Order: sequence, then C-alpha cells, then structure tokens
Amino acid sequence: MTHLLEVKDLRIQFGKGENPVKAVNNSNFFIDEGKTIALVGESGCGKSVTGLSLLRLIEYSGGVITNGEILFEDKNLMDMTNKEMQKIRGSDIAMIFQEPMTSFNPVFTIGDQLTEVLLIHQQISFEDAWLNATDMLKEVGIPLPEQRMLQYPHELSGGMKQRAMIAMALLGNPKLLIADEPTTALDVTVQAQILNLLKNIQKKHRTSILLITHDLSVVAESCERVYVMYASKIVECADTVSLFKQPLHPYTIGLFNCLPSINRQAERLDTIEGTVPDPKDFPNGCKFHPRCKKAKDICKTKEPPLKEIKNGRMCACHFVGI
Amino acid sequence: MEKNNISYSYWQTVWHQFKKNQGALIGLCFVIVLFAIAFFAPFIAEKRPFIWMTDSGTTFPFFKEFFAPTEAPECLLETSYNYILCCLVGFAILSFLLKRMKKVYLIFAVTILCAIPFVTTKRKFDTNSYKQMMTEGKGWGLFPIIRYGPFEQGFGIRIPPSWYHRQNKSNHNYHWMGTDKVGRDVLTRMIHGTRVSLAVGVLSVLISTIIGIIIGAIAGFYGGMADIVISRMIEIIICFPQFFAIITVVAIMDERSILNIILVISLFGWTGIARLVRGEVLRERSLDYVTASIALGAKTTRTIFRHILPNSLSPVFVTMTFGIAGSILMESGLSFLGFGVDIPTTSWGELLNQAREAPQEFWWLAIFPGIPIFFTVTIYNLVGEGLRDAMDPKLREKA
Repeated sequence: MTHLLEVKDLRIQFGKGENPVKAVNNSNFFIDEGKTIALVGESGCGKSVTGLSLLRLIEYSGGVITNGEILFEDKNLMDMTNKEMQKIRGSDIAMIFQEPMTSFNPVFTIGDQLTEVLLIHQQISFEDAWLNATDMLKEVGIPLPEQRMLQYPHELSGGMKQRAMIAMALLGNPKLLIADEPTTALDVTVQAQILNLLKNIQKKHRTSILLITHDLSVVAESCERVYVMYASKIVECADTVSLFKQPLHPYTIGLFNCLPSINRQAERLDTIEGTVPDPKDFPNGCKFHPRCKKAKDICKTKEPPLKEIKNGRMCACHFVGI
Repeated sequence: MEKNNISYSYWQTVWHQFKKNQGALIGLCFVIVLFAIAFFAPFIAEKRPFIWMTDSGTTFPFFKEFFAPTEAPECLLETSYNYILCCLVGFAILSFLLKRMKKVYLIFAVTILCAIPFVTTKRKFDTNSYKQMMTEGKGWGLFPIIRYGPFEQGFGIRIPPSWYHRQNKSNHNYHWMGTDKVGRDVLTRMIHGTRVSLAVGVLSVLISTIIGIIIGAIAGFYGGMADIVISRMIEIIICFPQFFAIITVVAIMDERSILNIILVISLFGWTGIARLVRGEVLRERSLDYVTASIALGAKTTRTIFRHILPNSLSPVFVTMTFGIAGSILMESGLSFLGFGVDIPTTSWGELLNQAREAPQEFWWLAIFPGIPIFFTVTIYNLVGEGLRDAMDPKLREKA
C-alpha cells in the first residue's frame, strides 16, 4: 500500500558557505489517507520548516532543500516546476498557519480572501465563489457568515480568524492539510473547539492532517501517530497510545516529565536541563547527549541511527531496544 | 443591520482622519479648484466667442478650436485636457440622470461618444479677429470672461496692469495682470499655464511612481542579487545632483516638448519611491499572510501586486503628493532658466523668466506668476502632510 505522502531523507539548510544552518536532517515519515500524524518538538527543532518544505514554501524564506524526496500520491514534489507546484498548493495540499492574527491580509475583507482561493484554482464565477465561501464559513462554525464575509480581518476575534483560516484552507478541498501549530495562539477552550472542528472535517472529507505542535495534550487528543523531533532529527516515532504509555527516547521521557500530573505530588515540575543546541554548532555524536541523564562515552562520538524496535515503533538511542 | 456592524475600509478610515485636519482639507479644496482651472482654462480665457452670429449665419469658432486645437504648439496636451473635460462632464450628467453609475458599458459609451467631435472636427486655422469684427459691428459674439487667447499678441509690447496704469481708455483691452514682452495677456497665460504645470506635476510623478513601484517591489521581494544590483543602481542615480542632471539632459535635447520634460523629470525621480517600496515590501514579505497567499497557490506576481503592494503603498501616496509639488517646482525652475517647455507654450516659470531682465520695472511679470507657484507648492504640501498624518496610526490616536 502506498502512502498519501511520503518524505524520504529530507534535508533542509539555511544559508550557504562553510557553516550553513542545518534545519532538518534526514527526516523520514509518511501520512496515510484520512489519518492524522503529529510532529512534536521544541521551538527551533525544525518542525515548522518541515511543514513549509512540503509545499516547497521554504524556498521563499531563504531555505534550501538539499536532499530527499517528497512523494505526494507517488509524484515527487521536488521535481515539479513552480507552475505545477502552484496548482498543488491550496488545492491538493493546504496549510493552516500558526498566527491567525497575521495570516490574513489586513486590507481585504475575509470574503475577498476566501473567494480568491476558489478563483485561482477553479473555473468559477465570482458570485458562486462567494456563496461557496459563505457556506464554508458556516461549516467551520462561524455565526452570521454573510456578515463576516464583508468584514476585515481586524474585526474578527482570534478564534474566529483561525476558523476562517481553516475555512480558507478547506475551500480547495485538499487531500492533505498541514496545520502548523493551529492552536498555539488561542486559549484552551477555543483550542478544544478548533481541534474538534479539525476532527469533524477529517471525518467528513477524509482529509489527512499533519499536525505540527509542541503541545503533547493536543497530540493525545487528536493524532494516530507521533514523530518526535529534536535538533533537526526525528528521534522517536510511535502510535499515540504506545508513546503515551511508554516513551522510549530519553528526550521523550523528559518531555513527559515536564507535564504536570495530578497523580504525582511534585512541588516543582521536572525540566530538561540545558537548552536546545545552536543549529550552527550541533554537538558531535548524539545531539541530545549534553542534556541526557543516561549519556555515556559512546553518545559523544557516535550518532545513534533511527532503528525499528517493533512493528513501526522507532527510536534513535544507543540504549533502547538492545 | 445594526449600525456598529458596518465595516470601514482602509480608505474610509483615512478619509475620516483626513477630514479632521483643516489645513489639509483647505489644501484639498484648492487642489480641486486648481484642477478645475486647468480643465476649464479655455472656457475662462479665450479670444474666440462661443457663438458668433452674423447676417450670413451662426458659427461656433470656440468649439472648433476646442475640439481641434490649431494654435497651441502642444496639441496633444490641449486635446487630452479637452477630451478628459468632455468625459468628466459626460459622467457627471450620467450620474445625475441615473443616480448611480455602475454599469461599465455606460462609462465606455460615454468615453467613445466624447471622442466623436475630436475625431470629426477638421483642423483649420481660424485667423479671424472676432473682437475687432464685433467693434466694427460686423457681428455679435458671446465671449469668455477674459477675451484674450494665450497666444494673442495685442500691441506687441509690455503693458502694465490696466488698473495700475491705463493707456487706452476704451472698454476693450483691459489687462488685469498686464502683458508680457510680446503683448500677450499675463492672466490668460497663467490660466493656460496651469494646464502645463499640473500636467508636468501629476504625470511625471505618476510615471516615476510606476517605475519606482515595479523596481522597488522586485528588489524587495526577490532579494539577493536583484536587490544588490538595484540598490546600487539607485545609489548611483541618487548621487547625481538631480536638478543639474535634468538641466544637462534637457539642454542637449533637440525638442523640449512637454512629454520630453515629463519623461526627464520622472526618469530622475523614481529612485526615492523605489527605495521606499523596497523597504516596505521587504518588511511585508516576511509576514504570514504573504506565505499564506503563496501556500494557497497564488502566482508570484499576484502575491506581489495584490497582497504585498496594497499594504506597502500608503507611504508612497504621501511621497507622491509631495512629489507633485516638487515636480511643479522643478518645471518652473527649468522654465525660469530657459530650459523649460519650448516657447510659445505657456508655463508659470516661463513668465517669471521674462521678468528676469528688469524685475523692478516689469514687476507684474514677477509677482503674478510667482504667486501660483508658491500657492500650488504650499497646498500640495498641506495635502501631503494631512495624508501622512491620516495614514499614520500612531498619530491617529492624538487627533
């Protein structure tokens, strides 16, 4: 069985010369139709860059994909011309951005921006596009959609704008939706609503979702499979249930210890000591070793490969699965 | 719909703020008046009567000249002004009749309809002196308020304003602002000179803005090599002292027509706007909505022109209003130094130039043309300042 999207050996770097910033190193992952996968990691670990690269948008921010294949329905996006990419963007693969506040153009009404997507990708009259967009706003749960269509982005609340953003992404009826921290800028109640909305839409349209987040509770709520990234590499990969039952990689374990738990009577939350390494100057060997409690000499010299532990579960650590 | 549900577009907000600034509002009124003078110039001052009635029949010498200018060296400029005036009048009538002008084909029809007299009227030089014929009792005509043409040479000598020193006591030949060295009425020439000055001001700024926006947007959006090349080019052009560079280019030109003057001024004027646009685009392109528009499949040109530019143009509009004042001043300066539009085309600076020989003796040639130059530059600066304040959200709070 082939996957809807498969990424092989993806490598992205920023800047040229002797010391480029390696934002993503040898990432491999796949998404099946109608499934949700999550990409989890700290700020700056390369998860947003990975998301942007799937639409080859990273080229607009100065990044370069130096290696790898992005297979979407068995076609390699890396071989496509800019024109072919423009057809895929917004219609086959769509993206929801982190900051609903800045993701709308402030000088146009919501309606103008929503209909634009339809006018770009479909042979459709402006009136029809306007009606379709209004229907989509209603579907994502915005009250009085006719009125909202005529309003400017600054007149909508954050949650409302994120819904409108989702509506805009869904208008092209995409097969894959990349949601780059869709709930980070929102408060918890709105967060839950947005996640529910995404779930319902997924059921209805059989859309696959790549959820990029740093919030493990969001992952627990909505995903089937999780990829944990640390310092430009995927360090662990598992289905959600087994990851939450038994995290394997020391970094993942650390992440879970950081979460407050009602069962534990701890006065202070655990933290992972140290900071994320500078992407210009990654440590030798395992990139997590300076912060790892289990680190031994081998970690300083040899980088552990991402190896399969059992049925699809993978982990990159010298001491796991031996 | 409730009242607080009405959304204000950006321009509505700007207009709301602009209205609060009295100086700018007065400036804007005078700008409109200036444009009205420019468009209606022949209706205010022209030597030919609107209607000319004789025993042999009725003719319309004014409109013959209006639809097919023969006298003016800048036929194209005169015709375009007259044509635009016709269209504007057509639109005004249309909107009055239909209350709301919405249908595009109606506008189209008016523009076509207005072109008909301009195409059909034959160019024929009309040498009749209707004023003289009227005093001789050969016919009766309805004249404009000021009965002098911009190229009509009365006595062929400088005459001071009639209210200051009256030589000829007859009812005719009353010159409000005197005449220039070949006897042309100064007031008439000033009114017709408005056409030249405004055309130079507006068109040269328009052209330089278009050049500046395109070049600046390319530099800002693509960055890298394009940015480096364009930025260095701008810096090189800015290094030249603008006024002297323009004088040099104008001086070696064979024909100093208005179009050439406009082109030269705009070719040296785009750099400031290009820099401004580059900076704005650079700032805007890193914002999420630009990435979002690309992510939705918009083409690069669409992203630049539909999404980035509308967000980065407000400082450009302010610069444009100041630029118009600058261009008018530049044109007057060129004409004053004798490098302006070829004589006998009127322009404010050209009249000033005539006063240079003996400004104390021919004071009316120095003062009267000087006033509109000063006045125009001032009101454009007032409008520009008002626009800047209205567009700046930081200043908005205080107002």
